[in-house]
Amino acid sequence: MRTSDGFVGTGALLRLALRRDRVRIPAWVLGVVGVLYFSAAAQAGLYQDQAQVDAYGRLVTQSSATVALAGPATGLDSLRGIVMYETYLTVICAICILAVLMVSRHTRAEEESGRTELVRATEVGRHAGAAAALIATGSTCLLIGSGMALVLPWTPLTVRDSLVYGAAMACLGIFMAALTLCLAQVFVHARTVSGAGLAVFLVFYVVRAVGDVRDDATVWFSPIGWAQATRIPTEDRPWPVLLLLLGAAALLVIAVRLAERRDFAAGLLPSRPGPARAARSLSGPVGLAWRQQRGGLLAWSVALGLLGVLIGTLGTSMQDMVRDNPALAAYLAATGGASMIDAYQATFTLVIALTIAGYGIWAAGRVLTEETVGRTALVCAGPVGRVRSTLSDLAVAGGGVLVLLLVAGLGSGLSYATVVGDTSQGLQISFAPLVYLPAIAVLVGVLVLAYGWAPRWTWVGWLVLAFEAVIGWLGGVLDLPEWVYRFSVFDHAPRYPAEALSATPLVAMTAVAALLLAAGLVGLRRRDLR
Amino acid sequence: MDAVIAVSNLVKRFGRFTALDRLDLRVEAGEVHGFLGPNGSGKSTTIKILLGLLRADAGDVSVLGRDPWRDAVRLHEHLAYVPGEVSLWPNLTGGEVIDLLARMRGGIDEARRAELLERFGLDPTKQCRSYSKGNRQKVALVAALSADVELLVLDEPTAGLDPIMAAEFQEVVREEVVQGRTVLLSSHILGEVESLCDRVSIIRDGRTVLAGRLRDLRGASRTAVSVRLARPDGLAELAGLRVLEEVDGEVLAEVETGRMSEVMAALAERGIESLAVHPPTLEELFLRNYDDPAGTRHETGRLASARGDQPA
Repeated sequence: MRTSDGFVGTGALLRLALRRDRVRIPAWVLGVVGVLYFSAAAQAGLYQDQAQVDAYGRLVTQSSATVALAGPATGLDSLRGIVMYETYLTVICAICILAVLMVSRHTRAEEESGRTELVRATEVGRHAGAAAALIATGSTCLLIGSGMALVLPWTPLTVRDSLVYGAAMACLGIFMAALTLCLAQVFVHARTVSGAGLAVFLVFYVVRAVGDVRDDATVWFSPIGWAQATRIPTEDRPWPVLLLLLGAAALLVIAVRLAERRDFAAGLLPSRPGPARAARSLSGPVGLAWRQQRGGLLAWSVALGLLGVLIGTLGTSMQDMVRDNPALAAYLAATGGASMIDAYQATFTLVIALTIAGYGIWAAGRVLTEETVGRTALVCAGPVGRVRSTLSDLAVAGGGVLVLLLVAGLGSGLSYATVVGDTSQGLQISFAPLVYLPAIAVLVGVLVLAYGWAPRWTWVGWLVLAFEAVIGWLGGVLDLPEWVYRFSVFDHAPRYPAEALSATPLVAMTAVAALLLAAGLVGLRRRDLR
Repeated sequence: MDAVIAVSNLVKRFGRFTALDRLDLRVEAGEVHGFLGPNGSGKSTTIKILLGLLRADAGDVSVLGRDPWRDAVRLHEHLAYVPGEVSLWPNLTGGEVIDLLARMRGGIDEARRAELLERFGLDPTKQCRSYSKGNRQKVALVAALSADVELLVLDEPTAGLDPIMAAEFQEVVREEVVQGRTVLLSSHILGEVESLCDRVSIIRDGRTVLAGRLRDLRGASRTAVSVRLARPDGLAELAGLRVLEEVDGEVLAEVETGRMSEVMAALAERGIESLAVHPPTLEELFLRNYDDPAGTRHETGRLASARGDQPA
């Protein structure tokens, strides 16, 4: 077969991919561009004069931790530089994760499900599915890039900054998409492909971080380094973007070669055999839930632990900076009497708690997936009641949330205590995230309520989380009417350690969570199981 | 002894769609009961109600003397289930799933587990995500058949199995019945039902249209004959016989229920040169209750089998 024949039918498959993702693509584009716009625009209000901007620059260049996380300190003597520094991490993560997940979803997941077999038996070439996946993903990245180029000139960034920024991010996404396409030829299962893609992304990010901290050529070993070699806003060089495109083209050639070498539904690496007998721990619904969630929990623990350490080590330098900048202090929601470091810690504790709430919703949301694919029926056809089966999943999810809150807290508290030598403050920080446990339980309770009575509406759990995230992240900047904040569960939690702990809201939230959970389980007992 | 499964006037609605419309089903202890019906006729819905996964809107349901909706957990201690569409945990191996399901039931018969794995030729070390449909079904079958239960509920258990494995499955089910177990077998493979089942229930559009002993059902139906006569005259007027076709002196006809000896005597008078009698197969019973009133397809089928084109 000629390689060109392999692409027959790409158009039809592309339309299919776009049809399937008709909600997902606009959601990603609007989400990324929207969040980026708001956080970029918000920066303008935080720094009134050059002295404050310079203070910011001094702070971040002092701390190798921030350079490692947010990447290279370019043009930090201007607001534009601060915008870039503050937004890079979000956009890079978003576009790379999007590219990896989308390509994996449209290639291996399709092949694994057997749908590709159905399609491939028609007049469709061997590479058409991969080509359609790449075009759909690449177009989404380009849409995000174009959106950035369109809206960012309304923030402190210039038109040229915005164009180069959009192009660099879109091409980084295309590069990651091409890379994932290669991985999709190597591994058999979609989950392995996504996992490998995200791991490679992490490696790229670390290489870039090392390069930026050492300020040497190491960054050139990472495509993220290429994207940032555009040196926005000081130089706005477009040529590193070409490097990304060339790299993507080379990866595509490799992907085609690999694809021609392998059989349908096979990979280049065979899957290994597993145990023939179940371990003692895998004996009931709780063991099953743990087995299903432990991999995700481990990955989240590592990520949140690292985030905690970063936040902890940043604490001291942040204190200096906040002292110089009252607007930033206001942003950090400092209340009367609280020290700046407390305010800073309280804000980051909220961010951590919101992230962990995302884990909680994801882990608890598994109950719906398990039911939809028919595995709940398999468990409940044995002598295991549906309430017990669901509670097992929820208990393991809840335990995971607790572990993550502790890991993130201990990461930041211990690193703070080590860096600053202040053990009592460090201890306080270590357990601060636990304050949000009842609030997260309320969010999960909303999900369970929906699941119990109207499983089709289980997604409201994510909706509530999105609302909490907007209020939590941007609530201080957006200046919304007072009553909106009342609806935020997280807003009712004390902003420990900036605020004193008070039992009333915590007890009330725990009670609400328990009520929601009980009500959801009552619904579950009454309804049909799919 | 009471029936193992007793269902009467069962109604289930999904929104405005009525899936089950006063369905009846009775399964006696120790029998293999065939549960037949075209796609979408409500077999899986009925089975899920028997398991207490779905709630009945009306009617009486009793399984092993219990209400499956109210008493699901205790009921499930005594039954095992193989779903029609087996979905397993992709990151567990087949062996792990078998152990897990067995332990949730309270234990596993090690010897039986090993024997079934051997007989079904299932590799328990493979991850479930790499199993084919047939192998996923084998995992569910091994888990269900190695359980010490009174009732097996099998929803199209052999749909993904190859003929050798399907034969092995029949053998295993016969052993289960010898052990005193009761089996409810929903299947589209009528040969399998014919060779395994004592009694069948055929449902259509959520209603039971035919139920009883296979032998009785056959006897109660018209029988196809193909006969070559020395003097084939006056056949059209012969009471109890309906001539369908005549090809080269070979007459294809149906004999009415209960008039076989009368018709045979009349045929003998005309000098029988050759005679073949075909009692209705399950397939014909099934198609008759499914295709009617037109009935064209099953007539064609019967003629073909009466001619000996297909093995009956």
